[in-house]
Amino acid sequence: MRAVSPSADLKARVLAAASRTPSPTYDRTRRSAQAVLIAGAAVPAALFVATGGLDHGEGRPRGVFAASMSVWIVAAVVALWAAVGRGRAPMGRATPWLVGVAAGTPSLILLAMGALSAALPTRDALLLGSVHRLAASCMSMTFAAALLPLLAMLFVRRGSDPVHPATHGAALGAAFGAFAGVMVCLWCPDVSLRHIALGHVAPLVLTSLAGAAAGARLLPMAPPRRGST
Amino acid sequence: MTMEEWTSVADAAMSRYARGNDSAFSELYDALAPRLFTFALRRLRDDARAEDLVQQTFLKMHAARRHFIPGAAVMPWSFSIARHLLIDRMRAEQRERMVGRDDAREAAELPCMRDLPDHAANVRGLTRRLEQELAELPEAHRAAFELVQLDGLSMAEAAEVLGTTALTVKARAHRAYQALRKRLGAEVLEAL
Repeated sequence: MRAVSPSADLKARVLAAASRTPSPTYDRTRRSAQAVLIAGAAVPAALFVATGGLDHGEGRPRGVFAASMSVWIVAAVVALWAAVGRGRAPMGRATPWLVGVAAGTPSLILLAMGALSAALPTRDALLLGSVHRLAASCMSMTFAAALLPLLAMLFVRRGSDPVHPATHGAALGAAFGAFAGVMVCLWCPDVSLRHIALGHVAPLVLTSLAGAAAGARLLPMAPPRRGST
Repeated sequence: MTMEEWTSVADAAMSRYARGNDSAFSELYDALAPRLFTFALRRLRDDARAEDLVQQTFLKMHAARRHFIPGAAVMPWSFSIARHLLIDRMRAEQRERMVGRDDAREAAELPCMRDLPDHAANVRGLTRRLEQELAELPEAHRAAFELVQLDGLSMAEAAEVLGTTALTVKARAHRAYQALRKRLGAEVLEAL
C-alpha cells in the first residue's frame, strides 16, 4: 500500500478551521455525562417511591419474587454492560452485538420467565395468578421509567456514531427497558406469565423501537456546517 | 517510520487531543492525513475532492473529540468517519449527476497509478481492470477487501470501520479475493 500526501496548504486550512470552532474535551463531557445519567436514573427511583414502592408488590411468594428479580437484575446488568459499555472502541460494539442486545434481551427474559413458571412449585400462581389485572399500568410504568435515562444517554452520546446509530439506539432502548423492568418487577404484585409478557416484556420492545428512532436522529455525526470548511 | 509507528503516534496524539491538548491536532494530522488522502483519492479520483473529504474528516474528528476514549485506536475511527462522508457525498452526487461526468472520470488517471514507474505501465491496465471488477462486487465484500488489501487496515480495524466483527470482515475479504481471482486470475492479483 502506497500513501499519497495531500497538498501542503491543506494542513493550514484544517488547523485554521478547527481553531475557529471550539470543541468540548473528553474529560468535560464525561463529567456532564455522569451528572445527566445520575439525574436520569433518579427519576425512575422517584416514580417507584411515589407509586407505593415495595409495599405495592406485597403478597407474592418469596421464591417467585427472588427468582424473577434475579432474572431481571441479571438481564439488566448484562444488557447495560453490552449496550452502554464501549470497551476500547470509540465507535462502540459491533452491529451483531447491538442487534443481539436489542432482540435478545426481551426474548431471553420471556424465555427465562417461562422456564421459571414451569420449574417453580408455585406454577399455578405464575400461570393463573391475577390474569385480569391490566398490564397497561406496568407497561406505562416501564416505558416512563426507561425513557428519561434512555434520552439522557442518547443526549450524552449525540453525534458520536458514524456506523450504526439506529442499532446503537435500539440496544440502548432494550437495556434501559430492562433497567426499568427491575424496578417494575419490585413494584408489581402480579406474577402471571401472560401479565409479565404483556406488561413487562412487551415494553422492552417499545423502548427498543423508541431507542432506534431517537438514535437514528441523535447519534449520527452531523455533516460539518458549510461555514466551517 | 513504519506504518505501526505512525499508528501509535496517531493514537497517542488523538488521546492527548481528546483531553484538551490542542497542539496534538497538528501531530495527528501529520500521522493520518496521507492515509486518509490515499483512501479518498482512490475512490474520488480527484485531488481537490479528496482534499475536501480529508478536511471534512478532520473537522468531524475535532468536533467529536469528546467521544474519543483516550487510549483507543484512532485509525478505524477516522476511516469510519471518512467512509461515511464519502458515502454521503456519492449519494448526493448521484442525485445531481450531470451528463458527461462519467466520461471525464473515465479519462482521469487512477490515483494509485500516479507514482508507478513507466516500465510498469502495463500494471495501469491491470489496475483499471481490478477497479472495474471491484465495482462489480457486492458493496460489503468490496469494502472489506479495499480496507484490508488496499488501505492496509488490520481485520480488527476494518471490522470497527464497517461496524461488524473481524471474522465477518475476513470472510467478506476472502470472498472478494476469490471472486477477483476467478475473474482476473491469481497471477494478475499477485502482480498488483
